[in-house]
Amino acid sequence: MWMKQLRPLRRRRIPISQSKKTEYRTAYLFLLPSLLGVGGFVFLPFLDVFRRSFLQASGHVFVGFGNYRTVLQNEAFQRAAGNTAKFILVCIPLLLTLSLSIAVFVQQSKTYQKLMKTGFLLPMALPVASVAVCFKMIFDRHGWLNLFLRQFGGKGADWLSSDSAFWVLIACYVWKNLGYDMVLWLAGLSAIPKEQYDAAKVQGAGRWALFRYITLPQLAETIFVTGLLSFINAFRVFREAYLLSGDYPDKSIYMLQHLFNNWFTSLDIQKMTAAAVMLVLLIGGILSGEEFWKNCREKKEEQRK
Amino acid sequence: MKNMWKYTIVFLLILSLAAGGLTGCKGDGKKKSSGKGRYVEKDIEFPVKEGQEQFMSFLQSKDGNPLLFASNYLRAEIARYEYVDGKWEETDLDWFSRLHDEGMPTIGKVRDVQESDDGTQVVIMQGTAGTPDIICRGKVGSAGEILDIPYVTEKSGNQYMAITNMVIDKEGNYWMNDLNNLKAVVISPDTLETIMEVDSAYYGDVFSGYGRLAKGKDGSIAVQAEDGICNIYDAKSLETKGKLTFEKGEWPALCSDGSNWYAVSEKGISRCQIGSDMTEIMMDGGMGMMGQPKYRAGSVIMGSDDDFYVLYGQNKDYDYSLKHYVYDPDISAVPEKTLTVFGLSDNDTVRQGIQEFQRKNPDVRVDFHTSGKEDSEVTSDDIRTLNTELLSGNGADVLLMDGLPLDAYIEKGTLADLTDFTKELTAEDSYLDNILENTAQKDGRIYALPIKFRIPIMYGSPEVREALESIDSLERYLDKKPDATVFSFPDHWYIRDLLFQLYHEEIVKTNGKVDQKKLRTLLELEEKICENAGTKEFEERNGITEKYKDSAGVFTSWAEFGIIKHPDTAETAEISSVPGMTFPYGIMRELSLSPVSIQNLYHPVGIVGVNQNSTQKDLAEEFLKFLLSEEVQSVQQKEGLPVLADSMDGLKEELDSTYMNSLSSGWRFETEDGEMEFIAFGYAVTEEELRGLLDMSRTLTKPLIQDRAVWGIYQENAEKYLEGSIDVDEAVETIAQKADTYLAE
Repeated sequence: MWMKQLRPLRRRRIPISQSKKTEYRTAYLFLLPSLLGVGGFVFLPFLDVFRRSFLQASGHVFVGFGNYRTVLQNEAFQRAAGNTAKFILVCIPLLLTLSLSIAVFVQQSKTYQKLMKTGFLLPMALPVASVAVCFKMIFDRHGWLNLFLRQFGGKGADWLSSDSAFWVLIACYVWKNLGYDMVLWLAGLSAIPKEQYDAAKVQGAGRWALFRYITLPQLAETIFVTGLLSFINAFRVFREAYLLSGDYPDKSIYMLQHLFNNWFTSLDIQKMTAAAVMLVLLIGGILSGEEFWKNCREKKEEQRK
Repeated sequence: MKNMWKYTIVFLLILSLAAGGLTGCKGDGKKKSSGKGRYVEKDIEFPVKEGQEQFMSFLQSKDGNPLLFASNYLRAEIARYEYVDGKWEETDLDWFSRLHDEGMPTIGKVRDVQESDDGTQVVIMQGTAGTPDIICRGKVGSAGEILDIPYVTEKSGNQYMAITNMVIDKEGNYWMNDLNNLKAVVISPDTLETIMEVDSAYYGDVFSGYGRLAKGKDGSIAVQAEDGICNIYDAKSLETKGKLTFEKGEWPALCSDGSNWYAVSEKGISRCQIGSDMTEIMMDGGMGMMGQPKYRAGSVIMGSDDDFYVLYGQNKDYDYSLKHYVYDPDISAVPEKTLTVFGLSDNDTVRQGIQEFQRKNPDVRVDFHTSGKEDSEVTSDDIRTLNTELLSGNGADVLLMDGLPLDAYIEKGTLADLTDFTKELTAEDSYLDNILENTAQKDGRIYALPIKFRIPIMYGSPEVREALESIDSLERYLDKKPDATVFSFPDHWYIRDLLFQLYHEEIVKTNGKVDQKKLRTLLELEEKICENAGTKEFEERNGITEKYKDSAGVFTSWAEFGIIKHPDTAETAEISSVPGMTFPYGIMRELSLSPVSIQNLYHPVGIVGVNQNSTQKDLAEEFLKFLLSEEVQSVQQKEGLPVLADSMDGLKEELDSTYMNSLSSGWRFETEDGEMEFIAFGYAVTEEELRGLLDMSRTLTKPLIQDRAVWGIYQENAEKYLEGSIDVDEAVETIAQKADTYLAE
């Protein structure tokens, strides 16, 4: 009996219709130029990076996993990796929460909605260098914040050269990218049918209940996309950190990109490539894990239906 | 049909991608064989007597020969030099001396001398304060006369005209540049009245801010009317014939053969025509002195054989050179080989070496690229740009390692091994082995060689010198003498940098960590010394800024002469040339002091390495060998002393030069009482002093190579501490944390 209930080990190939085949072919043809570009300018160079990660700096002597060992044991790398992870773990939830709250608020506003959208999107249009200069003018030891504090008897501090540099960087990054995430949320929010809210309100649901039981579940896909994009974008925070504090900032904002930048200056290509490969594997692993989790969730929902 | 469109669009997209990608590809590197014939540069002796005469003007005689005028510093004499058949013939303008003897007021302020076709010389002299310029003329063997030119002798508004230079046209008219009114005026030689006035532009350079005036063989006169535009006038009718157009900022020297005009500028020698924007480059600037940024072409004349004589001047030193450009039909039109040299900052010795090397090797072109910045302005971005080129295989063949992370480049195998090259070199000639071999060596192998070096010295109170040996001894000294200034009139930047240089090894340990305790002590000592010396008030009183450090370096303070007033202190200096010895050695002689070396340090300058991936290593080594040859080493440049022993010995000849014997210097500064004090010297270095320095140079073994990152971290935070923005704990923590991160990388 139990043998009859065994599922076949080989997956059955589902035949694809001719029109589907044509559709796939067309899709790949359109993707081909982009794939060639990405392949030529990203993938192939990455293969060279991968190759160099097993060689000495001069590029001639094979050292096996020696470079990887050196990088993992390197104090500067440990510090930078820790700071980068800390930044991502603090910044992304903060950014997502804030941007979602603002998106909900903007969507529900009846007056000045367009003005608010523009206002929040404006920092996105500003060049990073200008934003960094602005924050530097505020938080520098001779900056406006210290001037303001001293007016009221306060002492002020060197915000960019102490642990508070981390929060200054968070503030700078969140302020710059808030608008971008808000737009993504607004797209997700606009896809939720209004009738569901009306029906729930009739049934006596309050604001929080509406948000928790109607908005949030239907934003799952948007959460995934926004979270993914924010995660990838978070690695670009180096620009802000570099412009605020240079090659060697305060230890709290010394990121992986600082380390890569400095390794490049001292021609430590072997370490740079090994660390880059590890980073790609890590991010790839996280994205694959996210994709796997998403697929599992979708299958469960299909089975429930 | 629909599918056809899709395929077409995809095909076009692929094509555009491929086209975009392929445009970045290089060619196969093979050069097509070029034709024959190009201009080559030759030296001409500059006849002006160094230390006695001052160059005035360079023009063409009526016979078409180069003609040069120079005035004597001390006597009312003007010498005329005409270049005939390869030799300079000297004549004195006797009429000028006679005029002076007869009472002509000024001496030594000759601005320009010109000669007309009939052999009459016209001299322009700057008037003294409140008096007009003096213009006189005469002929050799005849009497001279002072000209009463109304335009010059009458005031316009509150001031007289400032006539800076002139040319005399074929009609004998005088074309003069008036700096105050930015005009060129044409004066009749007979009536001395103004015939015409035209616009003229002013350009401030080594040629004393002259507006450009030039004369063509057909009698045309070129007047630079504004930046980039030169108006051409017919001397007979005084009407405009047209204009020549140049790039803004080019300000070329001009001459004409009657049909074309020729311009000499940084671009090279170009042929241009009136009314046309097109120019034909006859000689590329990179192949001659005109392409070197520190030189400017002042005047050019055309010989009888389509050859050119060009006078060059240097902005910084008022040095002049004469070059002759001759067309050689037998050499290839374009040099077959190109050697690239890269350095973060410029280097005079390398520039001079390139010029000579190209002359000796006409089939080689040497391109010298720099970041265009001074040493203090170079950032890590410039280093990353270089690294990108090196990694992509486009790096220069020869690298000037000054300011670059030498250890990193050696470790990463970027520099070729020069050990065997050095052995051959030292076998042929006698070099300062201690300087050559210690600069860029690792595990007994040599990877770069310095072409010059400087010697840091210390002099002053023996007690203070002993105190400066370590942080602990300095601390003990200041505990014993809490009000001691240690240095005479220091500024805080000098204290900050010098002490870090002295105690660098105590603070940055070999294990790659910063000793925070020692660093803290150092910062506190620096603050104490600054307070004792009153550096803040001293800097404010005398308007001193950190900018002076760009050229002064770690070992030179703004007021090293102060030890004369405070002999119980110490001072440092960095000797880079014989003239550079005069001031510190003058002070030492006054106080009966002797110099000592600082920690056996020497400062290598122009550290030259060969790119390991260069495809022209042999040529690169040949060039390096040339830079270390007597021809280059014996030319005394102010940036450093030669590493060739014979050239070092040759420095003794400089001691007897008129220039050295006429040197004197003075310094004016404001004391704490608000009084202005002046200290003056007139001195010359003795042979014994020079010998002592040469003996010291043979004992130096430690190269002064600063780690840019550590120095930057230290200077930034020590500055914040010394100005009071942060306390010592913050400063120490920040420096230690950042330096540890850097060293951990």
